[in-house]
Amino acid sequence: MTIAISGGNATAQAGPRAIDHRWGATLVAAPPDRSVSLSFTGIDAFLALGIVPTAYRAWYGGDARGLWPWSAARMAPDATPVVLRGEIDAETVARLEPDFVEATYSGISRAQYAALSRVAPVLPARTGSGDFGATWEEMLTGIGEATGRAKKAEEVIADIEGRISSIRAAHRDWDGQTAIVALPSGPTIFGQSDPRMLLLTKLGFRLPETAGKLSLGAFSFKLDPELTAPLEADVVIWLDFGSGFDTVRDNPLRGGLRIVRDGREIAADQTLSAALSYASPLSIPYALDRLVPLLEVALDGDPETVVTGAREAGLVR
Amino acid sequence: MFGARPGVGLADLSALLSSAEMRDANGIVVAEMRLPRTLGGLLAGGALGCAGALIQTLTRNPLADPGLLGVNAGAALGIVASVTVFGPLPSGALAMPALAGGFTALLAVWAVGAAARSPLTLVLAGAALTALLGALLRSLILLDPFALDAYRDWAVGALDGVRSGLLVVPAILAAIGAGLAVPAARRLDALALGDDLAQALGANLVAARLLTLAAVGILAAAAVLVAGPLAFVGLVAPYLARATGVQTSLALAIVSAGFGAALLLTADIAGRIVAPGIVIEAGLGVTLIGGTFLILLVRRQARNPA
Repeated sequence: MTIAISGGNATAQAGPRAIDHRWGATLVAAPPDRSVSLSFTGIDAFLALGIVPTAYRAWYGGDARGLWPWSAARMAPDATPVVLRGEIDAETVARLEPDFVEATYSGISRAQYAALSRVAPVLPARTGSGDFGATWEEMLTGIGEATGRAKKAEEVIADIEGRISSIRAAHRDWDGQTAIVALPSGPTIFGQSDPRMLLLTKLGFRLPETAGKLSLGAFSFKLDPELTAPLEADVVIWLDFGSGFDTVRDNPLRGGLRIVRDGREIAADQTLSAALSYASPLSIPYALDRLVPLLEVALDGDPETVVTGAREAGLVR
Repeated sequence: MFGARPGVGLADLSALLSSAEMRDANGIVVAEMRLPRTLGGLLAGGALGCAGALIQTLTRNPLADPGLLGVNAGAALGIVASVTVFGPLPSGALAMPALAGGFTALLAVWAVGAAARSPLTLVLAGAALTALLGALLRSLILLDPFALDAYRDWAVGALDGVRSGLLVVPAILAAIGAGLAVPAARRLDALALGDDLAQALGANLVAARLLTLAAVGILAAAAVLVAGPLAFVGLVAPYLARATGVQTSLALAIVSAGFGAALLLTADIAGRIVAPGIVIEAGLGVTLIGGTFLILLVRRQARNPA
């Protein structure tokens, strides 16, 4: 996908590089000084490469700067990047005088791409990735190439892949087990292409067939509350975006669920839910640290062991 | 009878007679999901149909909709504002802010309506307030992704989340609204002759208008609490009712309520048949059915101008 100048083991390789993407190719002249990141999780990718962008987009939650623990720890305390919130406004971006605009996971339209391209080189998603289909690897690789830190990007990816494969090697029994990641409201089940499910797939899990069929390939779908069969996976991870787990607890059909009887539910608190949802090179290591022990307890085959947090969430009496 | 869960049939209706602890899964589905959902559909559809008939008669505008009085816009703003302030809330907790917002908007239009000399002023006041509240709402949802999510989920209009506990307040409101609708409809018949003639006959214009407005607003609030802001039900049901040849405003309101309830339930059931297993919100079905119907109607009227 790249016609980048190759080689060089300096931290930042200099020189112009062209990056192919869904709407053509973008030429970045030199390692940019003033990068603006419009991706919802872009700040994590920049920080993972050791770059503090001029401005970045806050997705949701976090501290006053829109940073969660995994990224706040990596941000230089004296750095004062601009935090963008809400919709993208080309004028606001232009006032920041960027020399590179990163937008792989931003949902920008082709018209917005054209408008922003008059301000600076813009990097949207790759061909085939769609508006929100860019994986964290794609984002990191693209930013690495544009900023001359392709090597560093490769190292970060290899690092995380190494961690994932060692976890998988230590948990061979997870291979082929089914997992559901869902929001209590609905419930809303995340599909195979969702970043949260992609991570679980890498650990060996798969979406149950019933849920896969209903998802029709979408990022998520709302399950008819009458149906419980699609929830009967080997493990269910409930996410909390702030409204808690009451909806799960109050489901009138809960009593008949095998996942409930066997204690195979994980109630991911807000920070873990965000880490799984960001699915960024910084949030994934955090998420793995916290999720793996929970998965071990949920899948230990013993209904008596209680997954940490499940009782507090009201999922275990 | 129509739903995603296989094997649920008429036999499971017996669960309604047994105590909650004795029910099996299918019984739970019937008693705690399908029954409240159906009652919610009857209530919201009926309230909207009745309110639509009243507001169309009052404003003498066949395109008037119960949402015209700003109730939906107020309820939406109530939900979005509460999520902006308190963060994400479970859907059951959204009823109070929706109710508060809806009634505040209604009172504002009502205040204008009390002074209004013509139905047109009233429609304008409702439209202006709806636009104003809509602008406020958009600025809030642009800045807060949770508020956007809450609004998006609610704004479609749906019955799938209706549980019996959520029906108490709407049922009380609908009863009050229906109670006001009867005298309101009687007075509207006098008004239909035109303001001057009605006044000459001794009708109290202001009282009739305020009464109708109160009935419409309370009915719309009942519906919005159950199912969110549903378009088209209040607009289309009176058309269907008129086609049956009813004469008085009261008869029109009653028949419209029946058509509204039927339309909403049809849309909800159609959604369950089209895509079993996933939720197709009733609001989508209503818009499809109601929108198609409205286009056909306008075309027919264009061909045979009355």
